[in-house]
Amino acid sequence: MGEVSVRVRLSAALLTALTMGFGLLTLVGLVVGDNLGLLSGLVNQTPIRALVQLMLRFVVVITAVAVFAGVFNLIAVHVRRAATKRSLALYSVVMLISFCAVIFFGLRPSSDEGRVVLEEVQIALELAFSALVLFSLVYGAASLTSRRPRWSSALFVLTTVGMLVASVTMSAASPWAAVVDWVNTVPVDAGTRAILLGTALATLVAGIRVLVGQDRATRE
Amino acid sequence: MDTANQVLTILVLLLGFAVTIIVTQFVRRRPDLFVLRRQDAYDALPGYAALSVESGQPMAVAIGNVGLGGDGSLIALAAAEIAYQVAVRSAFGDRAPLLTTSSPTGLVLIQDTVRRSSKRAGHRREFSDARWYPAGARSLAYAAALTSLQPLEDISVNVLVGRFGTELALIAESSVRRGHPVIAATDRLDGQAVAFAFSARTLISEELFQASAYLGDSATRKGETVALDLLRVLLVGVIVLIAVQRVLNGGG
Repeated sequence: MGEVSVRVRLSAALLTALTMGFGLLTLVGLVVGDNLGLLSGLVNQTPIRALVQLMLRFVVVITAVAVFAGVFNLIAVHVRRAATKRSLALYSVVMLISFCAVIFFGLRPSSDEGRVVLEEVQIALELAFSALVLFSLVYGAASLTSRRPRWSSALFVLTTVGMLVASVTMSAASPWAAVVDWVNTVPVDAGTRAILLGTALATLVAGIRVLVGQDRATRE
Repeated sequence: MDTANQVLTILVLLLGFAVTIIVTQFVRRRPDLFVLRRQDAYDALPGYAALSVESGQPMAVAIGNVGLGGDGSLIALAAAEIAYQVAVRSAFGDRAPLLTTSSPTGLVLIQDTVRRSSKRAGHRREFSDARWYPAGARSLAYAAALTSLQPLEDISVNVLVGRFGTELALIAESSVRRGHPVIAATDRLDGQAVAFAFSARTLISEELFQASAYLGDSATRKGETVALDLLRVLLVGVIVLIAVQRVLNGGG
């Protein structure tokens, strides 16, 4: 038991060291350009840039392998389900037939069927889902004030309805156009920037956590 | 990047490193000096997990279309941390939490989350359920799949954290209509507005990254949250200074 525990800790330490090392090298390779004097000289004399390019290529390859493994897993799950669960077998069979058809048409040279599947089936389905999203949004806005009777909920609904009505009915010469324009350029823009800056700061701190080997994903 | 941008980027990174490491060490030594502000979503999460264990209905954690490699990597790690906290707390019930993603590298991440949470809870085999819905970058199909899961898996609570757009409305509406709570957080602005409309417990912007500070017991994580607050104050100060300077110079 003690040996297992030590082995696990050693592998975690190795993983953390690799993450820190390659993370810092990639950061330096990406941030330091050719016009930073001594720092650029140091980066140019070492194979850091080549290593960064290699790492980025590895990411692409690993992503492709992950997709491949995921597809195999998906097919295995649906084959198993088609064979064992009668109530759900139909969906799995349809999925397997669709998968085989798309692969077959995709492999044929100069074939239009793959494009037809994408344009006529997938895009049409997604458009239908988009329409459903609209109904869900209307339901959400309509029920917000009853579910959560707060001033912020009322302000949210009033602003949404006001902006929608204004965008549909109002002419550019109307005095309300200036109000709508102000709402879009001042509070909305300020809120957008505040959210983006908050996310950027949190990303910075989370990135530092990964680079100093403190993230749980590499430690355990 | 031009030289000015490079220098600025390096300065911001160095400042971030310095503040995070110094503040974290300070808070680790004196953790009682700092009290984190209340977060409704993180306060409610342990209760939801307990409810899931008692009722035998699983929680669902969806991270959307984020995975490792690319601009969503750190958001994926933050979402995985929330999934981990949910999985650990639900590990004593009969029904494992359902973790889902539409990104192939996201699947690797949530499978690893399942492995770590099972190990932490002392299970011999992996307990949670990690699923990949290969819906691609447009995640409407993923949202439709999650919507159909609500009655099928008898989901008790939906935790939607990661990258979602307006399609979040489909999943959240399905959950709210069944009287089940939703916790939502996304890095996309349209998704954030929808999250506010449907969820009484929304995490906004940087709050998504603070799960381990609120739900874990690590003083280091708490230190990082304090460092983040300090960096925010510094940023506000810089913005105000720049604005004042522009006004004084007549630049508007």
